[in-house]
Amino acid sequence: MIEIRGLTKRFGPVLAVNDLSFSVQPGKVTGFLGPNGSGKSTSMRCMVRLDRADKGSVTFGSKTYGDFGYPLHEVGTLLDAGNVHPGRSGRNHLRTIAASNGIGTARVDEVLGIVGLSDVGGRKVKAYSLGMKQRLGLAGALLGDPAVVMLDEPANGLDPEGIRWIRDTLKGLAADGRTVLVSSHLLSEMALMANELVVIGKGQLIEQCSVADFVGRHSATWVEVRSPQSDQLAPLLRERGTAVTQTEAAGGLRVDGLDAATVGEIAAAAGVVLHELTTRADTLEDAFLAATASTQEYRSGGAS
Amino acid sequence: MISNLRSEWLKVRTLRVHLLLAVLAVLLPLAVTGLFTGLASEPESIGGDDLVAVMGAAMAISLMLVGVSALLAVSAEYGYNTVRVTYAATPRRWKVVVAKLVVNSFVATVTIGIAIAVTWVVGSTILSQRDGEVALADGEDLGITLAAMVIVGLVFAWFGTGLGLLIRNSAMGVTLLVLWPLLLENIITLVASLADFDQIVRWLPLQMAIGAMSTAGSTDAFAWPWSVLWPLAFGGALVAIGLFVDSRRDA
Repeated sequence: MIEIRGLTKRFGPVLAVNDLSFSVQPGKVTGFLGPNGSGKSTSMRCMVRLDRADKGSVTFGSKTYGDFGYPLHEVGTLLDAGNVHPGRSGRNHLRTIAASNGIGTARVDEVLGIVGLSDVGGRKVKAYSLGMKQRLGLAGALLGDPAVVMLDEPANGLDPEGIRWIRDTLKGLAADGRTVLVSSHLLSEMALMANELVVIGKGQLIEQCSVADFVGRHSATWVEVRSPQSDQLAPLLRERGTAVTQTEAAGGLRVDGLDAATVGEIAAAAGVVLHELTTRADTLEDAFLAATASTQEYRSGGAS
Repeated sequence: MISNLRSEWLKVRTLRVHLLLAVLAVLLPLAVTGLFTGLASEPESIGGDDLVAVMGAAMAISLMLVGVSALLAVSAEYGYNTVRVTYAATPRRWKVVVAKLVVNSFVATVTIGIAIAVTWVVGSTILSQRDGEVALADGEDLGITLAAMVIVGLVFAWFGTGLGLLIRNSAMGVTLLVLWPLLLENIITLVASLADFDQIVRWLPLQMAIGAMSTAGSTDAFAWPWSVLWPLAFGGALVAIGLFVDSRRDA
């Protein structure tokens, strides 16, 4: 279990992390979400003491990171897959990390096998793709068979097979009872992978809850109906005081405020033929954008 | 601590640049001494002290190279951000710095030791085949001069380690390491002489260290072995300041 209490980190005038508190439970994949510049990576670096926090505490179980003599046996981290010397082979990169924590070469070969890099372990890292570096980074995080795994954007640069593999791997680690904290911008992936979410913006906690609760709280559901008689159906629905808007599909209507059964009953009573009647809901991405709208540091310009 | 030493030794061993620098550090004085002994017009008049004097002059570049190797062992960690992986694996940063210092010292000692041994053996062999003969007994305290070369190798390794921690940038660090004895200390010498404050010149660490290799270990300021221990202490202070600064900075 990870406990973060009042974590604060300032870079000159910029308050990167502001009194951040949350906890990460074992046995679950916890997604760490936030817009660019929200303080996710800084928080993770502070957790493992790479950055010096100005205030606050981080404990793993009952210990701080600095208490661990050989921390790789307790906490595995992948903060940036690019943190590798290009002139060293992937296997030697892992050997240098392993040696510092008393881990043998046999385990290095084992984790290379786990991440699917056995055949290219002897090749220099400069020949690796981003996806291969991500796998190498994950191998480094798994070296000590730790109870806590923290990964910053582990799916970056992975192909679809790799993304599915990392999803299954992290779910497997959580199923083993480990504590898994993972940040990602791939929200569709997070929806499939995470049980719990920690959402931050401008360095502060916005929400910590389950994925279902988060989507439920920050998203809308509506009924999408398609009919060759939509002109006849729309006024009938509006009579019930609902908002009805035309969609791009031919004969398509979006109905907010009624459930699918009621829409179907109204159509049947009026003898209106329906070609589609579907309940739709916002995705995690929509919910995330709604929840963090006021904390987005960098916004795209509108389409011209 | 043993684990950190293993890790740092592996890091040095698994990068070709360190091997290349060590080989160059051996070959350069060997080539210079080989040319001197092979082309000398009167080989029978060359004594052990002449051979050691040539070795000392040629060894200056080797000292730079072991210093550069030590510096790169530190600065490359920052250049490629592998220091984050290193410090995440060992949050007590002093252990990493001490392990780097020990490994850099070992590499420097072995490299300069091999350079001295190979150069002496090859130089004396060439001379003996040309009717010359040299022995360590030829000059006064030649053994001390050779020992001074090894310790000055350590001085450069410690300077490299300290500058790597403080500068963090390989190109800037290497430039400063090379310019320190060649330019920086000469500028200080010039300014000091203009200010009529020559006393300080005798204490300049790298000039003193290099000087100790050609004067049987003694310099104007210090007699052997303090003439090399003072520069070594200066290098140690650089490492200590580097460790202090590094432990307070974000990785």
